[in-house]
Amino acid sequence: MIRKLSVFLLLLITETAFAASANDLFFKANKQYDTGNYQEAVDLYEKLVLNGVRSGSLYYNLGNTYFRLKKKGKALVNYERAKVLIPNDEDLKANYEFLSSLLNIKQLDDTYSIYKKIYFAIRNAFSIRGWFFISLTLFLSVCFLLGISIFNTHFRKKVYMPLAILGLCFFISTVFFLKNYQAKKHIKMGMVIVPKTEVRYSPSYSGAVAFELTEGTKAQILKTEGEWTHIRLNSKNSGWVETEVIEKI
Amino acid sequence: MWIKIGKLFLSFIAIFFFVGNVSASQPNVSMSISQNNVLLGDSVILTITVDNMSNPNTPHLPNIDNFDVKFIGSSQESFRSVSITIQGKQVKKETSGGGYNFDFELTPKKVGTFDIPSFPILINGKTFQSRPFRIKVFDQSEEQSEDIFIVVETDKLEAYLGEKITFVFKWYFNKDIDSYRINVPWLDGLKNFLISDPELDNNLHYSEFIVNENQRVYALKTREIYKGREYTVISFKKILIPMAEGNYVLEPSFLKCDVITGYQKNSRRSPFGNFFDDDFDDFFNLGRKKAITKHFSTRSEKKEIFIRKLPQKNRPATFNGAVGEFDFSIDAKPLSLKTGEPLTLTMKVSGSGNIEQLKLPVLPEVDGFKSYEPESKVDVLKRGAQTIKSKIFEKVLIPRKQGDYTIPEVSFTFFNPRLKEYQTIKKGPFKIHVQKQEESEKEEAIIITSNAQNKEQKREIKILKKDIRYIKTNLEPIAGKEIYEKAIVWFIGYMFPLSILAGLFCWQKRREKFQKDSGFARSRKAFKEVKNHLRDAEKAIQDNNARHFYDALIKGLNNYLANKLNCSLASISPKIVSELKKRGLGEKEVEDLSRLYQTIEMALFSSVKFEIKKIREDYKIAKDLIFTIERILR
Repeated sequence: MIRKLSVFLLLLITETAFAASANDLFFKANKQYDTGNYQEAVDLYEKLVLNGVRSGSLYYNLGNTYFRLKKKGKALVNYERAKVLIPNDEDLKANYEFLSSLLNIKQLDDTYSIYKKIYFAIRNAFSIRGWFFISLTLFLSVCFLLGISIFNTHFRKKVYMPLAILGLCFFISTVFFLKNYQAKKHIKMGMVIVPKTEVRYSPSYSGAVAFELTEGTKAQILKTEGEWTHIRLNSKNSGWVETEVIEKI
Repeated sequence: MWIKIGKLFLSFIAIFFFVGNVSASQPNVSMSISQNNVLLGDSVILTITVDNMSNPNTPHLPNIDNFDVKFIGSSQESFRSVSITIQGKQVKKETSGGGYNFDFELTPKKVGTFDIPSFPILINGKTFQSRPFRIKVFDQSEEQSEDIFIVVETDKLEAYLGEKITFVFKWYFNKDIDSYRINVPWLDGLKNFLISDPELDNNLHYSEFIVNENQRVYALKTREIYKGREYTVISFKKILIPMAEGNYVLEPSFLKCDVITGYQKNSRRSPFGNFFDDDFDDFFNLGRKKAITKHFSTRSEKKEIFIRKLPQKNRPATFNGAVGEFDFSIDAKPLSLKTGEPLTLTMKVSGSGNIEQLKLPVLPEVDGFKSYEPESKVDVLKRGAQTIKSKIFEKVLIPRKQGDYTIPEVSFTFFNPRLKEYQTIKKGPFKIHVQKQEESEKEEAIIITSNAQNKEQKREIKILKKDIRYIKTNLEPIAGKEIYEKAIVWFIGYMFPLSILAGLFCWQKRREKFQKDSGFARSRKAFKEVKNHLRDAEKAIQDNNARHFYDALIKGLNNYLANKLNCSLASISPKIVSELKKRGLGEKEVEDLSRLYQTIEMALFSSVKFEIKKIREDYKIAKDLIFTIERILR
């Protein structure tokens, strides 16, 4: 028991110590950014990322620094990562839009029927977390209404319809949450981080070039086999690119 | 080995010789002057040499009439120091001076022949007498040379305040020069004048040239025919802009140089005799050829310039110091814009005159515009050999509200020295139409001035530049596991409300059963009531009142069974017994119950006295029975 406790305490201490040093590193990196030593700043930020620090600010700053180093693709990848953590940050939104407009990305996406488009539009309207909270809120309100209607028969008769609607919404939001969660777990997205790359039909330079992708284009990573990565843009376009030209978001 | 001993011996002799020498000789002071004839503006070097004195102080010289005396430095001709060290201890240190030289610069104040009498020289508290000497100061070099001379030219001797005057310094020579020193006194700064460099012509090759000992000027080296003779000319230009009126004298420039008159052939012979031939020897001695030089100095003539005041008469209010001949243009772009967008007023003044010193023409204030500090730059346009300088002012105005505005005309006034009058150029007005900015178009923009290099951008110098926003300064919050990945969230968010709901549901169902089913309700309250009766019975035991005891017991039992079986009951009947058996009560319990009833009836309706012990026994039986029935008939 004591041993377990001491191990736990040790973990706690190292964690807080690391948090302090993480902040220090972050400030140091910011200072380098301010003085225009962007490469040094990138090294420090990347060190934090390597140490497992997940922070929207960190990815945002890293994006800014890569932008200053004129690595627009890498900047956008980091903005994407930041978007997962701080989706409503105004600075991030502004920089993301600005950078996207600079890159002039022509994204090839799946062509869906109108119903599927609506479905995806709704599904992607909120993040996983967003759907989780919606689902939870709906669940709690359903519980609340049910709880009241257990005691109040008069109320029970009135609340049937709203309860049914709320229940349906709860069901849909939960499905969307689970779908998005599954997608996050299983679908790996990548982004092209070089100005231009060729997508080939087979994983070798002898393979014919299917099409070209520009910096900042998002693609699904199907699998990576050494130097080559199989990517998919939509049902019609997929192929192989060099692993180093695409970075997992 | 022998050489070493020999050297040692020799050095001993040397030490003794010098020590003896120091103690034997007397301090001696002598003096010399560099030249007896000097041009006004040049100076003579007076050297005082002190011999046989250890570490003499700088001699003190009295004032000499008609000369400025300045100490310029000291040097030692040779230095001998002897120290004898015995067993690591320094015993004696002697310094012997072969000669300390102290140089003084004597600069004559006027022309004439001056006899300088003997004057006292004070060194280390001792006074020495100098020897008298004579210096002749000339206005012009006696040996006025046609070969070497300097000239300072100006484009005008009379100018208006603020009018540019170009000065050209020219040094003509057609002899080889070894070293030179040029002193242009006005170049170090002239009161009430601004001195600047003229624009350099890219087609010509300039070289850096040192004047006044440390000033760099860009000089041209050309060849020129002057009075039928060809000269090499070193020239440089300076532009002077007068800042105050009056008469000014430009002191003459002065040139001092060594003129090479010939070369001394080196007479040193190779110790190998004629082993190598002469060409080879010459090759090695090439750099050692010694030039024979002659000292030469000359002056330029002094210049007097008259700076006129600008006339007060007809001086417009818009005049702010521009002197020259200028053209003025103004441009406003764009004429139609949206609120928040910049409007650039570009004013261009070009021509000849004090372009660099030009101030921004007075701009009328325009209401409804936020104005920024104007920026200015000087543009140089080369058209062939002609350079046109222009000063461009840029002022950025940003409209705050929509509407139609008029930027009134802008006047630029300058004094034209050629026509000797003020001239005003008026340009404008401009009509500006400002539209309301669409909400979606509102961009947070940073206005920067672009020193655009290509012409395309030059026309619209202010551009809207978008840049990324600044970095975050706080690392927090550091994201851990996503909220939906935490078990506790699922437990509290879903399981907890669900279980509460289920609990509430069950409770409500039970309540409803109570309300609807009277038998169920009676059965539920039966045990509660019988407990009260049992409590009464117990009280009766303590009072030792058998009658009360059995009374309470029968009431309790009757009530309990009636509640449990949901019927009315006065005594145990076969119907009740069969009902109890049907509900699962054992034979033994039924028998006990019947016997208990018999005992109670006997106690209540006969006069038999009951022992307290028996009463206690019966109480126990009754209690056990009730608990058993309660358990079985649940």
